[in-house]
Amino acid sequence: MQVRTSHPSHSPWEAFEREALPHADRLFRLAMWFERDRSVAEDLVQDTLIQAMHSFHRYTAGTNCRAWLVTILQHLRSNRRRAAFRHREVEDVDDQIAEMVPFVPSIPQTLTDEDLLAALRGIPEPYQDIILLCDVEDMTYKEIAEALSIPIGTVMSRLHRGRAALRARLAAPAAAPSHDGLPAAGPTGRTL
Amino acid sequence: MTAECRATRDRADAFLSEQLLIETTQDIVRHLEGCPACHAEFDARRRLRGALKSAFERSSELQPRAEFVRALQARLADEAATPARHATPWRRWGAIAASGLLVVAAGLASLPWLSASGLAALARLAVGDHENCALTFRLAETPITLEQAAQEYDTAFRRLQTVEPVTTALPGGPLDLVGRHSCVWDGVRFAHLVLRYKDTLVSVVVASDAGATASWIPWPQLDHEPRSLPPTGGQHVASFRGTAHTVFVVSTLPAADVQAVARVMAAPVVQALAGA
Repeated sequence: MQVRTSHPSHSPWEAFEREALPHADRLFRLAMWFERDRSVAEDLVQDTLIQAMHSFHRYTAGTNCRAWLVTILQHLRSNRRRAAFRHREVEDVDDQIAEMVPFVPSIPQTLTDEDLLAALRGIPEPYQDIILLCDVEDMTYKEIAEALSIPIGTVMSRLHRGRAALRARLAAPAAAPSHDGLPAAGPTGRTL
Repeated sequence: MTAECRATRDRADAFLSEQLLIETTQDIVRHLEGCPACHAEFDARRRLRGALKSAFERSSELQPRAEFVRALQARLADEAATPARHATPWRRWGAIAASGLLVVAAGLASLPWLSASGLAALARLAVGDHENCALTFRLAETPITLEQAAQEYDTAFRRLQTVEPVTTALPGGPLDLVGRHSCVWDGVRFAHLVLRYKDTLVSVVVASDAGATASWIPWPQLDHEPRSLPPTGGQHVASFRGTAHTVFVVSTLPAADVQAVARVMAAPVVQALAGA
């Protein structure tokens, strides 16, 4: 038996349900990673989806809906950070990480999910953001630039530095401090 | 390391992110074909990227709580039903949304992201079948013919023996059907059609409702029209419903290509499952 909503085809709700809602789980994982606090992440995702619902007429069908949602989420997040005076000057971090990674070490052959996520958590936040949006969310440089309101060149340089920093962390996991309890990942022990 | 190696590795990030022009990509591919060291380096980076994506998607700490999902359902339904304060097209649909609220809420309850045991779970199994049957043969149980599967498990599988795509050519090149059988992955039996498009294998994986957990079905967001699901394990997935079956089209090809293959397979597969 197939259950359908009673809405006529092509209604905004149906389109939103079809296009946007399937991305909500990924949206939550991103929010949870960014905020490191479940209640804050839930609030952020809820506000993102509500804003997306009311702005859905601005979404262009056939484009990357997930990137569009992530852009809304990042703008909300950015506004909140500014409001809370917690915004960090990432230029300082760029300089810092550039000095931290003089060479690109080799990637260990065997890594667990915990190793990977702990290493990612161990690098500066701006680089975590870029790596997640590019490597996990498969967003293009242009989409990332729009989502984070930064130039494409900055996306590219941060991605390069971030990946190098991640590899440095993975090469020396014992030296990577755990910044918080997040996350205790799933299955262990996979060979890359 | 040669200067060409250095130049190639400088472009590794953009290459892996598929951000380069075709000509530049071809230059890099040519270099990688003749340089084992760079090939190994790029391969390691690609595997790291895939492993990170998998780790992120699997992390239990990053999953939403059921209570939050329920509250979000209610909030979104409420927003859809009361759009009058918003000067958007939602206003026009306010009354419709309100009248259909209960049905919509019921639909939300079975959306894949709202239920760990929902459509996403079955999609993961379909992706697992694609990876472990079509790409790397690592099945615990030897596949059987669709006729054998029809006799023992699901008579509809018999009708999939003669299914062909509605066209053998797509904008990206020929679409070839290279095999069909029935196989088991993680305890679930599928009918499995294997196609090749753009030199990449594409699986059409058919799961019977009879073999599914009750909580998996029905999915009101699915019908005969293929819809893209969130990427799973690095694979792009499109899905549609046939009579008493859910069909997944899985490949590492870009989502648009997977959707294109799904579109040319949907009609014949749906007709076959309906016994037409």
